[in-house]
Amino acid sequence: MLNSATLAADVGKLAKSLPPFPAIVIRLLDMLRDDSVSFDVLSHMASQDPVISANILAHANHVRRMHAQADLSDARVAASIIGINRVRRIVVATGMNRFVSAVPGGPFLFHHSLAVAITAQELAALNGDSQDLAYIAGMLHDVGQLCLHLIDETAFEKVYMDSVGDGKLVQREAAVFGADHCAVGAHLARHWNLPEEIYSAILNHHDDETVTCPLQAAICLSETVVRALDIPQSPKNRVTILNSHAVAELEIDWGSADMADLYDRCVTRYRHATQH
Amino acid sequence: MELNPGMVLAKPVSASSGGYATMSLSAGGMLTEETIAQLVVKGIECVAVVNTDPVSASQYAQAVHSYEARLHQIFEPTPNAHCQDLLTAMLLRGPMPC
Repeated sequence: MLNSATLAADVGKLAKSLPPFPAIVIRLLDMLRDDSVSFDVLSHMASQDPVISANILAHANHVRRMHAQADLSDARVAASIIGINRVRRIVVATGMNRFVSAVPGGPFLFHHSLAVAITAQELAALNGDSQDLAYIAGMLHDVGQLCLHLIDETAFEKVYMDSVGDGKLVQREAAVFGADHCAVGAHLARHWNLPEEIYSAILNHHDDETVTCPLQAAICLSETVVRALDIPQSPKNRVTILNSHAVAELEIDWGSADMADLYDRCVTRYRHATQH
Repeated sequence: MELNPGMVLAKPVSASSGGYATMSLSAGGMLTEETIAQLVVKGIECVAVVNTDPVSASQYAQAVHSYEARLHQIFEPTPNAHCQDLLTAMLLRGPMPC
């Protein structure tokens, strides 16, 4: 049983059962903090990772083939073709997708996290906030569920299924495990030295009354939007409560043309990301 | 679906960096190799293109029926007033073509 007084230490121990957090994402976040993302440093860093390099080459070679040019094999040259923003997004998406898909929790958690990450990134773009932070927070927002899963898989599954109809997941988790997945996930973020906004976004993503920062508002609403859009498709998708303060914080008009485009982009990007 | 030269934009596309507009394409414009390359460089993940293989009216009506039934399942039991606004927007949006 977890308890709030020792939660940080307990989560630290549980984190040892999870894959290591991707170092390349931590380094990217450090560079963003310094506000001095050097293209040379980033492309060199990305070229050291075979999966990220392959993704960068695939994007650049797609462009070159349209011009009937030969494929490249040097990831740093390829990075210079697709540009720093694209490279950054490939680093974040590849690093986070690989991390979350490697942890125990089943395909639904990965697909749900991916849908929330894409939606949060789109909301951040609309609001002029950091798309990188939004994507990372979206991929991690339910990471606390992995720890509860590790503690007692059967109990977690029962709590989860019992809560589909009434949405009282966090209350049941707290009663059964001593802490809910939001608190556990937030402590994991702190254990990995992630930025305070990500800690806050994870901690409060089920809070329907509070707004702590635009990132938390975006994660909170992304959770609702992906369920409304039914991505991934699941009988577990329900929308019964919505954080109206988060709507006000991000100045969202659900029926606006911008939001209509956003819904379509989220569904399209999600389908594209999961069809490979 | 991958973008190919010759496809026609169904909605305008814009990109900005540091508060400055770096790309602006109008709806109705035809994609070229150059514009697709620019979309990649600007980090634009997807754009809306004109569907050259539209569904029939009866197929669309069936899709709308299924879509609305599913939405009402997702938003049950009775959503609060804030959820109702989102439900209304989703109903107006209609189903996406596959």
